[in-house]
Order: sequence, then structure tokens, then C-alpha cells
Amino acid sequence: MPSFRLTYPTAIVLLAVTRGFRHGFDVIDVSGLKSGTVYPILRRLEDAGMLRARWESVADARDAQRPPRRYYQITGAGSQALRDAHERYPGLARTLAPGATPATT
Amino acid sequence: MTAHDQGRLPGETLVRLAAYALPASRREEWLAEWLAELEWNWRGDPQARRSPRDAFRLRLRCVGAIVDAVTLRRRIERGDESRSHSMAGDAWFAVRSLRRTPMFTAVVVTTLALCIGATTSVFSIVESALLNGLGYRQIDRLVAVWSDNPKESNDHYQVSVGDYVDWRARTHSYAQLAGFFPSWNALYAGPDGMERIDVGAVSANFLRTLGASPSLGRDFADGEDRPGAAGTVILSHDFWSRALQADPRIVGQSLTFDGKPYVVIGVLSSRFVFPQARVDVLLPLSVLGTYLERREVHMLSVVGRLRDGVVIDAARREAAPIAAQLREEHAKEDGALGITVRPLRDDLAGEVRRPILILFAAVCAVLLIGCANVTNLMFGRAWSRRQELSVRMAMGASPGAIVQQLLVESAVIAIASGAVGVALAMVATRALSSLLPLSITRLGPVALDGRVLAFTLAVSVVVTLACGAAPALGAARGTSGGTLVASARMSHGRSTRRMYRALVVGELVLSLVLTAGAGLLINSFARLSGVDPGFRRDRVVRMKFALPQNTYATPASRFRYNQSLLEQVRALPGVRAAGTINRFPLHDGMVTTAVMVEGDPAPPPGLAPTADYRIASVGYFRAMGISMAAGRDFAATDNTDSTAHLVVIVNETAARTILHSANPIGRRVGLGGNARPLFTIVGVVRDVHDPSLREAPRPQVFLSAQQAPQSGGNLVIYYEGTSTPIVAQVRRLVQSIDNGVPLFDVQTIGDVLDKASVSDRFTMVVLSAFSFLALLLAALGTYAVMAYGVSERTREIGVRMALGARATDVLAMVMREGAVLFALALPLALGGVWAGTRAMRSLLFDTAPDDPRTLAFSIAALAVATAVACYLPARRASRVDPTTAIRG
Repeated sequence: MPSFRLTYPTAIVLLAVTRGFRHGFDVIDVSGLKSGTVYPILRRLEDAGMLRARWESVADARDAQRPPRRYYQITGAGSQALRDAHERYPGLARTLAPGATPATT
Repeated sequence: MTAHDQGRLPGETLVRLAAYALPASRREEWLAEWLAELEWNWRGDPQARRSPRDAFRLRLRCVGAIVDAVTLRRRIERGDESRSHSMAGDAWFAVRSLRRTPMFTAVVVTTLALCIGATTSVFSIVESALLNGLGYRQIDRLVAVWSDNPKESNDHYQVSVGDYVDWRARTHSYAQLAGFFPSWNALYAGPDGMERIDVGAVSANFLRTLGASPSLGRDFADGEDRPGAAGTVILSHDFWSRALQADPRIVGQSLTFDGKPYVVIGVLSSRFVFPQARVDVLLPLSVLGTYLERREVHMLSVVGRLRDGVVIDAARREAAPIAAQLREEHAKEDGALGITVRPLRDDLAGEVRRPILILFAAVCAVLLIGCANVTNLMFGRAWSRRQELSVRMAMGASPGAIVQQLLVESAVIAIASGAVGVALAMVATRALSSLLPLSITRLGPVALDGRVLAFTLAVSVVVTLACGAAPALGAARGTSGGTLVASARMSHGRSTRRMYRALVVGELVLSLVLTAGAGLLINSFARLSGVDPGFRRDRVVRMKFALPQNTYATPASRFRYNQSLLEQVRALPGVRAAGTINRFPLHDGMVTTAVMVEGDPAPPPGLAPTADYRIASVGYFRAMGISMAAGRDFAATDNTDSTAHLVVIVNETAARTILHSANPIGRRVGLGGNARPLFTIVGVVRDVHDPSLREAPRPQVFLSAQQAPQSGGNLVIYYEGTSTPIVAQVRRLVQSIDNGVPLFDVQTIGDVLDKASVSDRFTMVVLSAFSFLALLLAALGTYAVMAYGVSERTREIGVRMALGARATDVLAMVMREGAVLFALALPLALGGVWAGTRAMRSLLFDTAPDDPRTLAFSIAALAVATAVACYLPARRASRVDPTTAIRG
């Protein structure tokens, strides 16, 4: 997708996924953005090929007695876009909640 | 009990609902993602304790699911146009895009809200006066039956009790036929003293005929209206609430009317509207006493419920031979009478029907003008967004999707305008209700009910389609060429420009029709206000008093009371003259009687000339300022002494039309179809306008109140200073003479005159307001189109000026264009005025529907408005700087 405009919230979402916050709700928690903002961004990034979405394996989920979740991974294009974003928004790296670590799932 | 207690997760319902925004193919996966997140968030950690606060937070987060679903859907559609477009998404989009253009939105919503508000409030009047059921069952099956009196060219002539009884016995068209007298009076002995109340005297089947029943207690039973039956009464909801504090145990108790006991058997519902008049209680028809026997007295109204399967024409066919039989059997009383049957609804709303329909037509015209303006604005908006729309089409949006988006946008506008319009209508309806004539409010409360709101909704939907469709279709067609950049410089197509102009011409036509109509009504009202009623217009006050029948049973006792009252009133300071009359002009209606002139050949049965007859005391004419044209006023010597003659005074019209002489003093007449006794004419008074200011004076005959002492009537006082202290003194006086005599219905002569023209004033004020609105909207519409034309032609104007055109030439050029629009509108408008004002003929007083002065004035008003609307853009055009215009 040509000329993708990387807005500040989009960059934050991309950063969160890179840091290992792979699920929609985790991104919401760590970024402080609203669900109505984060999800459309995730869809857009997925469409633009910057994120790839996968489903957890059914077997793992059965062990935890919870449904499988959809998780997001950054792609090469995504990494490139994030590098550009760091240049454009110098403070970006400090925006996520300090010391936050992704849940171990 | 919260959702998760039952196995549902907080917010799950919201998410599941939001999923419906998505196409089915994507719904499952999307839902699975959201629900999994919810599940993990809420139950992922079994040790965590979840508070209601957490549940709330989770629900709040799920609101985002709606945004997610809607935006996802839009993305899907953008990528795949074969799928149908989402309305919700369009609405969301429309709201955002309207917020980006606040000026456009404000102008459009204001215009439509004004029009919808005005339409709604007029419709609320239409609904209350012409459409609602008045609390009757199947009002369409009800008919009013009247006598037809060709001699007075009156086809809704009151019915005699004898005729009513015979009709009821001989007709088969009716399931029920009821008779009633709407304006009987009685004195009610309440806890606070005597009160005069309005009585509807009704046959026992009256409520059954109308299909109404008391909300408390029971209806009259058959036979309870016969003379000699025990007294029973049904109370109106209003009287029950007012005088009896809505006592729920009232049924079975006894109340006293005119000194006689009546057992309360029922209370009417608040929704029930008594036909023709407001009444406090219903008493059986037998209360009319001796009138029941007198076939020559025409006082009843008759209402019938058609039998199932019988149409109104069948009832009419059946009536004709019965009328013929009665003419034969009762030649003296029924001599020339026929029978009229008409729908009750028309009958009740008869006098108000036309003005209301005219106002409704007018407000619809205003709505049309508003729609035309909004359509033009929407065209402009669709045009200015052609680049955005072209982009969308280039990305694969179908023309259908574009049309849908623009239509949804106009729906959003319509909904907003509808909401504001209803709010305006609420305010307007409240303001209008104080202006409304009694003839409308009597038919039921004017309010914004469900039906009115449904109407508003329908109007808003139609407006949406009307204003949005053409621009949307035009835009879809215009952009399908896909010329993104080139179109930005192109101007409107010729057909679009023609459409603009056609709409403006239409607006000018409609507003001229309304202005002319309003002009005629204003003219007519001015003339009506200028009518000399024939009596004083100020410093006269009238009030009613009523003598209890049992205390003042004899004429002598009534004579003494009236005499002493008048003497003491005249002695009060500030009173210049005082008298009494049984029926006050413009207020109490008229009752006619046959007049036989002594010495004239006897007229054929039923064809004797008739005159309105009244009973006036000494001093009445002086108090009213009605002067004598010939002969003398009543005098104290016109009394019941055996030596005195029975005397009458006639008005000029009676002298001219019945006695064929300007000075009939000394001639004698018999009244009421009787040759005896004979009354000697002692005077001729000047005419007064009665029963309304609009009508030419009718023949009148005045009897002497001293020779026919009445048990009450109007006390009329000509005073100096102000009326309030006079009224207070009279009140004290009446109390001191006999505190069993109530004094009520006090009015100054100014009030009487105002009330006589309230209906005319109402129509005039409202139509004038509408025509002003129409003129304003048409001017705005013209302005918008001219201004647009100028901005579009800036380059051309620049070139012209560079080539030597002067500012005045440019000004003239633009003004000429406006003149062309006006000239196109004029012939059409004149046709519209011709048709429209003809429909108003019956509303006009002493004003021809094609009054040239009014028409000229309206045309001038519209011409000025159009000129101003053209001048502003024209001036801007004349100030165009050629160098910048050509370069730009």
C-alpha cells in the first residue's frame, strides 16, 4: 500500500506490538489509547502489510481452558515504518508506560 | 444482577450487537477475536477479584468495538464495492462531514426546522379541529340532521322538538337519532352561593348515539328524558373537577339546579367534547319544559348514527318524503321546511374548515420554498465536493454508493431539522393557542400528540427525499466521468443551472401567492375593523344576571326586580345610562320570529317574513348609543297597565323590508305567527351589525322588557372613567338586592368587538407570518443563486472589465439576470394568485379576491425583495478586480 501515513497513535501501536504486546487488549492497556482507536489502527496496519495477525493454536488454548486469541506480529515493512516513525517522532520510544512488560502468554 | 453472573461477559452483548455492522463473511472471526480478549481479560487470572468497577471499565472498552466494526466495514466496502453500503457508516460519516461545514449545516437546518416547525403547528390545529374524533366512536358514521329553511336560505335551521320526535319515529336509516339543545342555562346552588351554569339538554340516547359513555357512573336510561321522570344529571369532567373537587363518590348524590333536585348518575370523560358549545352538565331534554310542546319553536340540534351499511345518500333519500309528509301534516309550522343531512364532522368544523385548510396550504407552500432553497444548497454542496466524490469513485465506489451516502447525509439533516422543528412547534403551538378562536379550541385541545409527531416524521422523510435526491443523482452522474483535476475548474452543467433557476422561479411564484393572500386578509381585516357596528365602541360594559325561577315565578316579581336594579344602577356614580336586553349583539346569537303586518294580505303558510326579536328595557338604546331614526324610545309608560298598548320598536332594515316604509310609526304587527296580540310600532332604531360584523344588518323587532319581564339577561351600562370600579359597585349592588342572583360573564364592549373578529385576526396574523417567511426564504434563495452565478463568472466578468466594461455595466448585467427570473415568475405567479385567492373568497370581508391595489403591493414587495437579493451579488461583481480575476 503506497503512501501510508503513519500517525502518532499508529506509531505507538506499532511500537507496542514490537515490544511484545501482541494482543489488542494488551496494546490498549500499555498505550493508554482507547479501544475505538487501537482496533481500527490494528486493522489498518494489517491491511497495509505492516502487521501480520495469527491465531493461537487451539491445543494451547485448551490447556488454559480459554479460547484462542488473535495476536499480531510486526513484518519487515512494519519495522521499516517504525524506524521512520522514530525519526519523525523523536520522543516515541519513551511513550509506552515505563517498565511495562508484556504478559507471559 | 450483572451479565457475567449468568455466564455472559461484561460488554459481550455490546460486542455481539456491533458484529452486525459487519458483513456475515467477516463476522465470525471478528467476534472470536473480541470475545477471546474479553474472556482472557475477565477470567484469565483466576486469582484476581473483579469489582463492579472493573466490569464497568470493560464495558466502556467494548464501546470501541462499535467503532472498530463500523470502520472495518467501511474499509471492506472501499476495497470491495460489490457489497452493499452500510447506512450506519454513512450516517457516521455524514455527521462528521456536516460538522466540518458548520455554516452550511446551520443554514440548512434552520431553514428546514422553521418550515417543519410551522407545518407541524398548523397540522396540530388541523388534527384537533378537522381530524380528531372528539371522543366519539366512529365519527364518520355520525351525521347532523337539520331542518332546511329555504325562506331564510338556511339549510342548518334548528329543529323543533315535534319534528325531531316524528323523524325519530319515521326514519329507518339511523341506529340512533338524538336531539339536544346546547345552550340551556340553570342556576346551581353550590356551597359558595348561586352560580349560573351552562346546560346541554339532551335526549336519553344522546351519549349512545355519539358512542361515548360516562367515565364514572352510568348513561341516561330510556325514558329518563320524559316529562315527569325523576331528575337525573350527568356532569362534565370539568364541572365535576371544578365545582365538586372530583369527588369520586358523587354518583348517587343529589345536586340542585333551578331549585330542583337532580341525582348525579354519571361523569363524562375529559376527552368528551360536547358539540357546538361548552357545557357544565347534561340534563334530560325534559328540562326544556313547555318548549317540548311548541312545534313552531326551532331550537334543537339533531345528530344521528347511521345504521350499519347505510350510506349518507340513502339517509338523504329517505328524508325527502318524510319532510313532505310533515309539511302536509303541519302546514302552519313546517310549511316550507325540508331536511338536511350532512356529515357531523363537516358540521362541527364548518366555519373553521376553510381558514384552517388555507393556512395549511400556505404552510405547505412555505415548506416547499424552504425545500427548494435547501435543494439548491445541497446541489452546491455536492458540486463543491465533486473532487472528494471523484476520488471515491476512482477508488471503486459505485454511483449507487455515492447516491446512498448523499441521501444519508440529507436524512441526517432532516432528522436534526425535524427535532429542532418539533421543539419550535411546541413553542409556536403554545403561542398560537392564545390567538386561537374559540371555534377551534372548542373542538378539542390543540397539542402535539402522537399523530402530529407521526406527521412531522413523514414530512421530514419526504423532505429528505425531495431535497437530497436530485443533487445526489446529479453528483453521481457528474462525477462518473472520473475527471479528477479537470472538473475542479469546470463550472456547472447547463442543466444544473437551469434547475437552480427553475427552483428560484418556483419560490418566487409561491411567495407571491402567499404575499397576495396575506395582503388580502390584512386589507379585509382593516375593513372589518373599520365597520361601524352601529353602537358605541367603548365605555360600555355588559354583564349577565339571572333570576332564580322559583323566587321570581311571576312576571310582576320579575318586573319589580328589574325595575329596582336599573334604578339603583343608574344612581351609581359614573353611570351615564343603563338598560337590559335579553340577547346582546355579536354575543348571544339571534332567534327569529314570524312578523305579520296588520292590513297586509296573509302570506302563504310558512312564508311570513321573519325578524330577529329581542326584549329591551328603557335605557338600552341610550346606553348602547343606538339612535332613533324615527318615533320614540321605550318609556316608563309602556307597561302592563290595562290602558297601555303593547309596543315594539323596529330597526331600519325591518322597516324597509317588512313594512316597506321608512316611517311605519303607529302600524301594528303580530308576532310568532299569531294574529293577536297586536304590537304597535312606536319607534325605528338605527341598524346594528348582528350576528356578526361581516353580515349586513338583519330585520329586528324589539319588545319592551317592561311588558315582557325577563328572568335575567344582559345588564348594559354606559359609564365614564374605567369599567372596573363600575363592575365592582354593580356586583355589590346585585348582592345587596338579592344574594341569590348571580352576576357573571362580564365584558367590555371592546372585548365583545375583539371576540367578534378573533377568527379573522388569527387567520390574518398567521398567514402574514407565513408570507413574510416565504418572502424571506425566496429572497435568500435568489441571493444564493445569484451570488453563486457571480462567483462562477468572476473570470468572465474580469475579462469584460479588462475589455472596457464599466462597473455600472456589470451591475446592470447581473441585475438584468435577476429581472429575467422575476419576469419568468410573474405570469405563473399571477395564475397562482388567481386560483389561490379565489379559494379565500369566503374569508374576505368587503375585499375582492383580485383587488388590484393588494396585488400591486404584493408584486412590489416581491420585486423589492428580489432586487435586494440581486443587488448584493451584483455589487460584488462590479467590484471585481480584472487583473486578479483573470489571473486566478
